[in-house]
Amino acid sequence: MVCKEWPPVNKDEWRGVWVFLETWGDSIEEASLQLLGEGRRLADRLEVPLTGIIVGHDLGDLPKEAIYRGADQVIVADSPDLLTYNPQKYSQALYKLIVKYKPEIVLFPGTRRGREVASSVAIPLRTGLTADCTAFDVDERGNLIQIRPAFGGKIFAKIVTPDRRPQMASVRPNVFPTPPRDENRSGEVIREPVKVDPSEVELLEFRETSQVEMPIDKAKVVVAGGYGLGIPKGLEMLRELARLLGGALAGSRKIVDLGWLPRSRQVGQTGKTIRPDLYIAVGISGTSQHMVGVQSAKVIVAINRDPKAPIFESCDYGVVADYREVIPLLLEELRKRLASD
Amino acid sequence: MRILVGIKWVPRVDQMKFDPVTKTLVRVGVESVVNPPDLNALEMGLQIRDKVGGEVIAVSMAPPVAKEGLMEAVSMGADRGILLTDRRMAGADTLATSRVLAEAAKKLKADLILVGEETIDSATGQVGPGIAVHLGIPFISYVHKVLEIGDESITVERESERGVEVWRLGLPALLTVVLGANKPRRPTIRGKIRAKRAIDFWSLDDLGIDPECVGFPGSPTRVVDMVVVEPPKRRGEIFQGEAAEAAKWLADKILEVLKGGL
Ligand SMILES: Cc1cc2nc3c(=O)[nH]c(=O)nc-3n(C[C@H](O)[C@H](O)[C@H](O)COP(=O)(O)OP(=O)(O)OC[C@H]3O[C@@H](n4cnc5c(N)ncnc54)[C@H](O)[C@@H]3O)c2cc1C
Ligand SMILES: Nc1ncnc2c1ncn2[C@@H]1O[C@H](COP(=O)(O)O)[C@@H](O)[C@H]1O
Repeated sequence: MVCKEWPPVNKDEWRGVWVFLETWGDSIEEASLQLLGEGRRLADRLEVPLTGIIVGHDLGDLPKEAIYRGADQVIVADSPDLLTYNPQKYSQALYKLIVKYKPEIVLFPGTRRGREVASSVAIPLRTGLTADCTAFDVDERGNLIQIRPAFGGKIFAKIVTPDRRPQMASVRPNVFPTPPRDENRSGEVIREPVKVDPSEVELLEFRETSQVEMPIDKAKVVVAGGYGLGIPKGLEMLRELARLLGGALAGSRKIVDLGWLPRSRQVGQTGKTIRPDLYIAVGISGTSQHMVGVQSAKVIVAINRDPKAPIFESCDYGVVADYREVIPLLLEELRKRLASD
Repeated sequence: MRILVGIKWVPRVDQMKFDPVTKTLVRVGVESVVNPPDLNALEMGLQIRDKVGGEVIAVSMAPPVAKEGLMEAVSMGADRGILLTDRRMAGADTLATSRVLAEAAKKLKADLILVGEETIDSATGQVGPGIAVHLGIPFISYVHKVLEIGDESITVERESERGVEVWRLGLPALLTVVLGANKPRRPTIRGKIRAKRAIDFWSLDDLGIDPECVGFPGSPTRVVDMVVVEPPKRRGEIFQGEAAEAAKWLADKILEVLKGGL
C-alpha cells in the first residue's frame, strides 16, 4: 500500500542527473559549480547525462559556464517573471521541468536559497529530500546513497530513496572541490519557456553586503573569535594576528548573531565549512555545531581561559589563558621572529 | 491572530560522547531540551500576539515524553500546546512530518506558522517549508526580524549569503526563524502551573489522515546505515602557565605549521 496522495512513479522512466544552479547577477554561485563536479562523477558512474538547470531570465552566456564546468547540457527555465529570486515561482518552474524531463537525481546547493527551493519542490513530487549531504555513492540497484552528518556531525547517516523519483539532495557547500573550467567543452543550451503563477511572497528590498576581505574558505590560515572576546573591539587583535599570518578573520555563530562580523565569516554547521592549514580559535567554547565546520583543518589551535572548555578536547595546541594577556604577547613574539627570518 | 509554533523536543547532542572502546555514541544521561531556535520562533510569536492579540499554540509531533517541551512553551507564555502523538506517526522523515503538522495547522486555521531554522539532531530545515507547501501558503526561511504585521500580510527581514533581504508575505504564511533572532523570555511560575493542564493530545484519527501517508509508510527516504564518526585525532597538547611563556610556545608551534613542518 502506498499513500494515495503520491503520484505513481515508474522508476525506469526517470533518467539523468540534474544540478540546480543558483545564480547571482552574472555568475553561478560557487556551491553550485562544486555540484557540477560531483554530479559529473555520478553521471559517469550511472552512464547518464549531466544537466545543469537554471531558473531565470535574460541570462546571456551564463548557461555556457555550466558546460565548461562539466555539464552535458543546460536547461533554462525562462520567464520574465523569474528575473529575480522568488521561492514560490522558482520552485514552481523547477517542478514543471522535473515532471516533464524526469531526471533520476536532482542535486541542490545547500545554500539558503538552494534549500528553500529544494524543500518546496520535493513536496508536490512526494519524493525524498536529504539535507546537507557531504558524500554520495551508488548502490547495486543504482539508487543514490546520500551520506549526511546527524547529531552535530557525530554520526553519518546513509540514506536512500528506494521507490520514489527523483532522488533529491541538498549538498553542503565547500565539501566538494570546484571543477576546473574547460572552454573546449560543448553542449546544448535548451530554453524552456515556463509560465508561473503570481506569488504571495515578494522581495521588497535587497542590501548586498560588501565582500572586500579575503573569504574564509579560501584562506590557508583562519583566525576566529568567539563570545569570549567580550567586546567587538576584541576582534581588532585577532584581525592583526590574521594579517600577520596572511590569513582571514572568522567567528563563531554567537558573535555573528551579535553583528560583530558578517554572516559570510561564520564557521560551523549553519555557517561555512573550511579546511585551512591552521585554525586559531580564540574565546570559542568549541561546541559540535562549531567544530563540524573545521573538522578538516590540518592544525587547530585554541586559546581559552577555561581549562574545561570542550575545544581543548579537539585541538592540536591549546593555551589556557585570557586572550587579552596572551594575544598581545603572541603578536610581539611573531613580529620579532617573522622580521628576523 | 492565531499563531502556531512548531516545537521539537531534542537530545542535547553536545552531551553525546564518543566511546572509543565500544565505538558508539553514549546516549545515556543525555538531557533533552526544546530545540534552541524553536524558542526564538516562540518568542517571535508571543511578541506578535502581545501586539496584535490572538493566541499562540505550541505544536509538536512526537512520542508522549515531548509533552515536557510543550509545557515549557506554555510556561513561557504560549496559550496552549497540542501534542500530535500516535504510534503510526513513528519513523517519519521530513515529508511525513510536515504532512502531519500541516494537517494540524489546517484544522486549527492558523494565520501564521513559526518554526525554527533547523533542529540540532536532524538539522534539515525542511520541515517548515514542507508544512507551507503542503498547505499551499507562502513561506520564507531564516527570518530574524518582523518589520510589520497587518491583517493581510507580514513583512520580514532575513539574511542570505550575499546580503539582507526584506520580504512581504500574504497571510496565512510560514516563517522559519533563526537562532538568536531575539531573547526568549523565561518561564514563569504561573505559566508552569498553567502548563500542567494546557496540553491536548491528538491522534491520527483526530487529524483524519490516511495512515499510509504518515510515519514510516509515508516517508520516501530510508536510513540504511548509521556510522558513528570517531572524532579526528588531534595532538591535544595543552599549555597552562605564564602568559609570556605561553606566547613563546604558541609562536613556535604556529611558525612550524606555517613552514609546513607540522
Ligand atoms: C541549530 C544550531 C546551529 C548552530 N550553528 C552554529 C554554527 O554554524 N557555528 C557556530 O559557531 N555555532 C553554531 N551554533 C551555536 C553553538 O551551539 C554555540 O552556541 C556557539 O558556537 C558558541 O559560541 P562561542 O564559542 O563564541 O561562545 P561561548 O559558548 O559563550 O564560549 C565562549 C568561550 O570563551 C571563553 N572565554 C571567555 N572569556 C575569555 C577570555 N577573556 N579569554 C579567553 N577565553 C575566554 C569561555 O571560556 C568560553 O569557552 C548553533 C546552534 C544551534 C542550536
Ligand atoms: N516533530 C516536530 N514537531 C514539531 N515541530 C517540528 C518537528 N520537527 C521539526 N519541527 C519544526 O521544524 C523546524 C525545522 O526542523 P528540521 O527540518 O527537522 O531541521 C524545527 O526547528 C521545528 O520548529
